[in-house]
Amino acid sequence: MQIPVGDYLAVSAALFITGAVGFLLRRNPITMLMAIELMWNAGNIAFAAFARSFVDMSGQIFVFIVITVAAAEAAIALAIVVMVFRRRPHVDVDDISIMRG
Amino acid sequence: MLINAVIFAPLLTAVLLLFVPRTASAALKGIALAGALITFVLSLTFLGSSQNGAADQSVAWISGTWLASYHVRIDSLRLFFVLLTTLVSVACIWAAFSYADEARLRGYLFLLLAFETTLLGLFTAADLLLFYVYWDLMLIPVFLLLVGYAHSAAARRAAWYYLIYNGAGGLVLLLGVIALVAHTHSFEVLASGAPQLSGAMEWWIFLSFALAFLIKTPAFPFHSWMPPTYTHAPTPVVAMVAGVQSKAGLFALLAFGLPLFPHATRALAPILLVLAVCSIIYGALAALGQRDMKTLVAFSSLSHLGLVWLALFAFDITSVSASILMLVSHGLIAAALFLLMGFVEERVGTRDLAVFGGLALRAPRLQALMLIAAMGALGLPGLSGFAGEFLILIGSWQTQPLYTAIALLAVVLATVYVLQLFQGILHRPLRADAQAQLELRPREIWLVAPLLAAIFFLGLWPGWLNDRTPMAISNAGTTALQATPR
Amino acid sequence: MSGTLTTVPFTILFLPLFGTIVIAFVCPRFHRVAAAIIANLAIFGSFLLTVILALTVWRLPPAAQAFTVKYPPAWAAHPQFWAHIPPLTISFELRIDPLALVWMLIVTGVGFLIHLYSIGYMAESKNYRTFFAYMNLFVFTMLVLVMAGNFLWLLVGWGGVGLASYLLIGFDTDRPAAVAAARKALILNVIGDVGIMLALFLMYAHFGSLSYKEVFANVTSAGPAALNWIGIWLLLGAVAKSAQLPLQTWLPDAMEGPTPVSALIHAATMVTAGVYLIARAHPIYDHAPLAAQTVAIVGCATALFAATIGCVQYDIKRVLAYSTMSQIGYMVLAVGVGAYAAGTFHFVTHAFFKALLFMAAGIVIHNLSGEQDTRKMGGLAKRMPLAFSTFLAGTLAITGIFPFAGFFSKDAILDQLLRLHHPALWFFATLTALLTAFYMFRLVFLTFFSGAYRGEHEPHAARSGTMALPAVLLAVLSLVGGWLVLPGHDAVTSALASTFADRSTLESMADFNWPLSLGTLALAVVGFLAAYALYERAPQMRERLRTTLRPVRALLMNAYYFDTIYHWLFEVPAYTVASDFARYVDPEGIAGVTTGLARTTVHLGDTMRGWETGYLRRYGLSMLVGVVLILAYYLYVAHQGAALGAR
Repeated sequence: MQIPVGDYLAVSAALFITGAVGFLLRRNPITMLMAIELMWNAGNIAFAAFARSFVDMSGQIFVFIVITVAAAEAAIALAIVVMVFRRRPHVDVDDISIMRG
Repeated sequence: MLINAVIFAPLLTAVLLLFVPRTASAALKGIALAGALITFVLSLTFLGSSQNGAADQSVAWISGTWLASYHVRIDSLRLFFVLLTTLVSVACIWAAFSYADEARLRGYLFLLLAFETTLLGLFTAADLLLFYVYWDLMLIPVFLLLVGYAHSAAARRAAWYYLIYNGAGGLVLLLGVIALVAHTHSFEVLASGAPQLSGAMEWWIFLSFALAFLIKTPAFPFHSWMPPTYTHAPTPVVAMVAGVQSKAGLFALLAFGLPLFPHATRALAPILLVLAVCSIIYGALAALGQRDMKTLVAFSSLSHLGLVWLALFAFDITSVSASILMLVSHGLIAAALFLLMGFVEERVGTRDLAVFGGLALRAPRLQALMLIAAMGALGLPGLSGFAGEFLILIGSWQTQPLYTAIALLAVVLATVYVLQLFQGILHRPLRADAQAQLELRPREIWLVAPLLAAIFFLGLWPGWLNDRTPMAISNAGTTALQATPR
Repeated sequence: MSGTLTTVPFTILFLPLFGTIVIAFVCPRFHRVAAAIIANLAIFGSFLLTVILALTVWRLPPAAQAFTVKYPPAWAAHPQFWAHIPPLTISFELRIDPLALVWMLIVTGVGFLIHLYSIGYMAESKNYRTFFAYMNLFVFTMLVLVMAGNFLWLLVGWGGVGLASYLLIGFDTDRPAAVAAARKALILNVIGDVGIMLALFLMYAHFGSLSYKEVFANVTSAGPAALNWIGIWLLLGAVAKSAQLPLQTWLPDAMEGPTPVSALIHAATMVTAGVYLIARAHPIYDHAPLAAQTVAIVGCATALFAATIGCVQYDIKRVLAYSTMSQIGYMVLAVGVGAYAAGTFHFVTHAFFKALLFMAAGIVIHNLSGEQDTRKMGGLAKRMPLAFSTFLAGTLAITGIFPFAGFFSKDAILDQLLRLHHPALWFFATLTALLTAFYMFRLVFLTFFSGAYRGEHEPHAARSGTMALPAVLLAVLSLVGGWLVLPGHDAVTSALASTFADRSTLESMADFNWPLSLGTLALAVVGFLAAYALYERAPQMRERLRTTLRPVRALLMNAYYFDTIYHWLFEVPAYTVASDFARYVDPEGIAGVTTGLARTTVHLGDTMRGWETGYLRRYGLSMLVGVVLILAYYLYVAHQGAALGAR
């Protein structure tokens, strides 16, 4: 049985929306990072699904690249978050707005 | 190889300075001056063999769709700009010895030497890309010197003014360069004569070049960056900017503008002639109204360099040839004047002509040196300023009598404002609270003396220089002189 | 050409420059008198060599008397000296001919006497060395002017004497009046330089050369209109240098300089350069009748104009300055009508007696510790017999009393005016002669007679041999100098003949018009009597005259308000415009445009900055919205494309 590509896309869209909403509404940086991971992976699902559907391996290769970049991003972001945690007890991203223009 | 030695000797000296401890100021000064002197001596060797392309070196740099090469050249057109740079730099680096803040002396000398290299690079570049790189690179040392080493809010403001205005000019030039190279597919534009551009295209590209040159020189009405820069920059910096860097635009016009766009120069000449005459008269009148001595000389520069614009766009063989003489002469005079005024400012602590005066009583040597520089600026027959002016005007009279007659008015105005400067500093009774030490120190006399000697020499024998710059005529002059506006 | 004729002019020219250099660089190590000695030796050497050269040249046949020397001879093949931009070539060449020789003789000869005089006069000056360096520099530049072989080097000399004059007028750099006078002199002289430059541009356009030889040889190739313009522009140079109308205002102020300077530069030599220029350019004026006529009218007007002012002034040096102006007016008038020999002759005699007058006045001023106002003098004839007798000799010469020099030279000009059919000019020139006699004798009476001494300080009779000797010598020359031209014998015209060989006629002055001479002499006596009556016999008449002629007197006292008019006509508008440019137009207008652009950019940035709140949510939302918009746009375009493709 083959699951139609539209189903994969529906899951992907649902994941992405969850991630986007989570990113926009939460103020805890860790949670926001997790939300971003959700969005990455929503993209990954879509890539993989299309790769399968079009029988084109480049989509799957892209998934690997995204995973790598996501890992790197998470590492840097977590480092920043840790640094911020060291400086102040509670972390609310709205409080860290000193870099505005 | 020698040509690269000349270009990079100052930069190498600058790098060498970084290995000397900050506190060893005597060593720093010695090395910097030695570097500048060596550069000058090296550049002098080109005098002997300046027949036709005395030095020419070309190394392929970028290949592909758009060709670029590291192409440097010293020929009869470029030789005197190189000599002017190296000579003025020696004086300026020597003058920098009196920079007060010992801890920052190293950076100061470093930037001055780096500035010299960018200037030399500009005057020797035969490849358009190389030329453009130096064109913008020049801004950085001057900007840093203004921001970091002048210690006044006005100087910092002038720095931004300078950087942004000239940076904008650089962008306009970049646009023109890209448009030109999109057509020629090579930055070696000088190699194959004037490119075959369509009339409108040539016109637009030349316009962008001309705008950049007008800003850099500067000419009316693009001169707004100049008065604050010339007024607030540290003495050696302003002497180099006014003496050497202000020649970049007109040099570029001679080296690139006229040969590349013979028809467009003709077509745009009416507008540029009007701008030239406006520069001449406006500069003279604005100088007349100044109380600040450095601003006064800044505006006099505007007026004198306007004369060169007139010379180039009068398209007379005499005036075009004499423009090199005028540029070199103005470089010497402006550098000498700014250096001397810097010494005066150090002693008196003000630039206001209405406030001080009477220095002649206590500083006869200052008066003597100032007299030569001032009379050069005034156009006294027998000094280089006159030779340049006279030969330009006698040439431009043949094609543009009206504009020449208007320009002559500026000769009279020059007398008025130069005397205002000269007498304002030196004559009238001495103020009671004047410092004891007003006379120039031997170092200050000796560093200005070569410039003044050159002013005398070129005034008494301008033919010496004219004879060594015939290429300027064949290269830049004739293409534009024989072209028709299109 | 013999070696003498090439090397001697070169030596004559450069000895004074050598003097300047030695004084400037070597003398500070020695006693200050060393400077005076070197300066005097340099000029004296120059003078001796000039005499030798003159004797040599005048012995040559007329055709060989005028020659050009290119310098340095070894470089004669180098065309690039001075300038060489084909087709323009300007070389460094000297032109030696009788006209130049006359000027050289006076410049070095009278110049030497004045140098000698300066030793005593400047003894108390702090800048003794500088003074002599400047004086030598002046002689050098003046020699460049008269020896030049082309118009360019003439202009170099022309500018050089302007500089030397500037430096010497403003010699007391801390006295504001002197500084202002120097500035004025230089500015007006530069206006003259510009006139000459214009003439040179025209010459180059029409003749392709600036060399005397080539310009004068081809003078007919240019039309009369061009020649008239060249003549007019040269005249502008001449009037500026020679203080003729309308650029005369600097000369009276120039009297702020030390008296030897006034004697040398502003009486004997430099101010006559205009006369030299016109005589030198005579081939042009001979073919430019309109320009020549203008020259004559300017000269005549100035002669009369300055003489009227001289009648009311009180400053002894100012009166002499106005009389210089007036006498140069005579010379300009003479060369304007083509009486070149007469003009040159008057230049020679004038150099003698005017230098003498200044020297005598200088002795008076020196002994009165700098007092120049004749109202504070009087009765000095007995106290200063030397000054009085020499001053009187000068006065007799300038007023044209037989047998003093002025009698011969001034009458020569008046006589030529009639011979060349200029009755109107002759009338005014004769009137000027009457006024000259009046104001000069008025000066004599005011200074040396008219009752007792009126000054506050007792005059000290400082005697200086170096001051007395030149004065006495010049007094003798003022007497015998005129005898160069005697009835039936005209040394001047015959000496100058080879310079003016291209003219068909150079009227000889040997043929005296005795009734005219005696008539002019009678007029001089009338002038003397008028001065005697008003200033010695009947002071009350003077008072009455003064009240009735009050407006005229005010006009004359203020020199016809020229200074005021120029002040309001040129100075005020120029400075108003200039300071407006400097204060408003440039910083606010032109820089305003650029700073305005910058300000707009900053403002725009400020507005945009409001979007950057620093809240991460906000950025996230913008990204999301952006992505959605871009996607929507592409989907829409794709949809359109599909629709188009389907159709």
